[in-house]
Amino acid sequence: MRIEIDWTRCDGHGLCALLLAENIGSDADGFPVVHDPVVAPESLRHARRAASACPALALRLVRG
Amino acid sequence: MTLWFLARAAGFMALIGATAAVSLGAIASGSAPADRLRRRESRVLVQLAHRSAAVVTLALLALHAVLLILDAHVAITLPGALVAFTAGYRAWAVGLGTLAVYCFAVVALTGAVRGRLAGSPSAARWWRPVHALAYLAWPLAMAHGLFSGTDTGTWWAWLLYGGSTLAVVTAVWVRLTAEEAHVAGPLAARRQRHRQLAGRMS
Amino acid sequence: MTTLHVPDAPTAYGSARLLAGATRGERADLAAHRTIHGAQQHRTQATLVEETAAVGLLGRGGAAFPVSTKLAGMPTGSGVEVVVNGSESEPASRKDRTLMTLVPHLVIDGALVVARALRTRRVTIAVHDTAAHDSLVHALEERRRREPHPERIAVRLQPARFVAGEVRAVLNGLDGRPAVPPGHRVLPTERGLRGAPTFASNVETFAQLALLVSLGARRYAEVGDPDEPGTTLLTLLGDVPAPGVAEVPTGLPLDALLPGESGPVLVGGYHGHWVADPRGLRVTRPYLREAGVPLNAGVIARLPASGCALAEVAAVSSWLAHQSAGQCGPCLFGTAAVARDVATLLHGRPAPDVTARLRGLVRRGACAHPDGTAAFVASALSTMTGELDAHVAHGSCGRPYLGVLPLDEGGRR
Repeated sequence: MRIEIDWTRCDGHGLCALLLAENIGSDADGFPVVHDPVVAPESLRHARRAASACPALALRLVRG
Repeated sequence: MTLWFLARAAGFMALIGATAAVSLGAIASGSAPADRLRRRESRVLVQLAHRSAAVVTLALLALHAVLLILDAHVAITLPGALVAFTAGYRAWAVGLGTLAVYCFAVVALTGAVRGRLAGSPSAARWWRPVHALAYLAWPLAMAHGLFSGTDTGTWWAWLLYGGSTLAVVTAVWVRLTAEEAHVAGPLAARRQRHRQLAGRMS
Repeated sequence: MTTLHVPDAPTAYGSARLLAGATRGERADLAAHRTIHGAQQHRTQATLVEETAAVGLLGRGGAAFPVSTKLAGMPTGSGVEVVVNGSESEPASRKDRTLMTLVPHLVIDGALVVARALRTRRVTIAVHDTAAHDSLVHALEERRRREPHPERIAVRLQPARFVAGEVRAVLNGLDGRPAVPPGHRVLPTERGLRGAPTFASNVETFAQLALLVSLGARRYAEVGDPDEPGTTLLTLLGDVPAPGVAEVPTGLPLDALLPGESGPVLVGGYHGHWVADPRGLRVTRPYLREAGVPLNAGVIARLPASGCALAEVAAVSSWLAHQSAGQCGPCLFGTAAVARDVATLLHGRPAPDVTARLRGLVRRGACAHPDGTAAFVASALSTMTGELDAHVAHGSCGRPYLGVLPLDEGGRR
């Protein structure tokens, strides 16, 4: 699975960086910095939790 | 009579659960941009508590309904419980409870599939209004308790109803204040302006 | 008959093909157009795919996507939409409005070739320049009387903001939504105008298609670089022998357009890259992309040595920041921070965070605006080291800001 961020929805809540620190960091404004868009199988649970926790529904997991 | 006591207890517990779920939900996503990074951990915890409260509430609601159907003290049958306003006991007030359960079920369902909905842009748009049905379901549940409950006259029932109302009203107020601060931020303000311009440019 | 506004005469290096008959700045009416290019011809989708593949035609809007691939992926039928993107919203670029204003019939021919190949009658031309709009409307009027066609061609005026020229933003605007790029990935060929499969491309692409059909692939490929045969339109700015729109054969060395020594050169416009020395570069899209200086929409500018290059960069950076649609946080805040940093450097003060901020713009938006802005500023800072040193040492280079790189009023926001 791969991480995709809908930047037009992202509000910089920063929860994804907290829940999926393996792949996502955050900048000074709280907006995510995707270090690695590819989610490792062992991180999949964290990734789903992050997608579900995003208050703006801006984080999605896509195949590939 | 045991079933009747348990059913009432389950009803009150469900109200407490719903109050917790709705209040926590209200404060889970609203926060002023300046506070965001600082409060990330607590916000994740609030989200978790919100979900847990919702799950417990659903279970208690189911228990409440099943016990009342099994119980012989009041004449509520399965069809009477399922179809709003047809119960054999305080039909109107019990009907409000039935509607509240349906609303909560829809709300819970949207909550459960939340993460997957982000993939579709249109789903991401309708999610919030649908999930906000909770703000309709909660007053329905309150009214149901007030008008059909046999304990409504007691001091402790009033204390519970009053406390629940205070909790939800406070949470919604906190949410609206945060939303106001957010909308005034540069990003939200620009997005808002685009929506307004949409009609004019063509 | 209305009087039509005519831009400054374009230049042709070698023989003019797109701009044949228009190099004196005169608009080609239908009769003149037919004398030059012959009767309107048509192709099936399969033949058009073959011919565009044979000449390696690339989209001329900026993304340089192979036209044959886009065409081959299109379904056919009456529900399909054809969109000509004439929203040339970069103030430095004039090539598309020059085409629409001087040779509107070539653009319309191209749109009709595609519409007929895809067996649809739905064609929309999106423009934001009123002169281009009037010229197209006038051209359609000429055709209605003398050469009627069954296709319905709508010419629609669109907002002029920079990011509003991006094709998905144009499609949103045409559909009555805000003219901003969507946040999710959509391929116009799958879901475009009114949700229908849409062949959308830049004005010059359609003009090239008309030319290709009229000349045939073999004659089309007689000029230019074997990698991307034919000609291409450029907009030349600043210290160049002939500023304005130019039609050049591909493969032309940049020195031919920029003789002598002068200031730094911008290739690819305001989302493009600065190079200190253009020698050795040639005007071919695949080649320039490989060289790390994509041609984008064909703007090439050279700053005169008499002006302050950093001031030009600062002015454009600030303009770019204002052009952010403000949909995406990293772009809205990032472009503004970068513009402030460039202004700080202009005054000779250090901007230690600028590199990190530029990195923070890369691939963090719904469209290419943050990336393009980062490319423009980062390449400027790495190219203009002498300028930067002078500003640090004296607080200024002592040369004036000339305003060589044009900016509009900031667009409607």
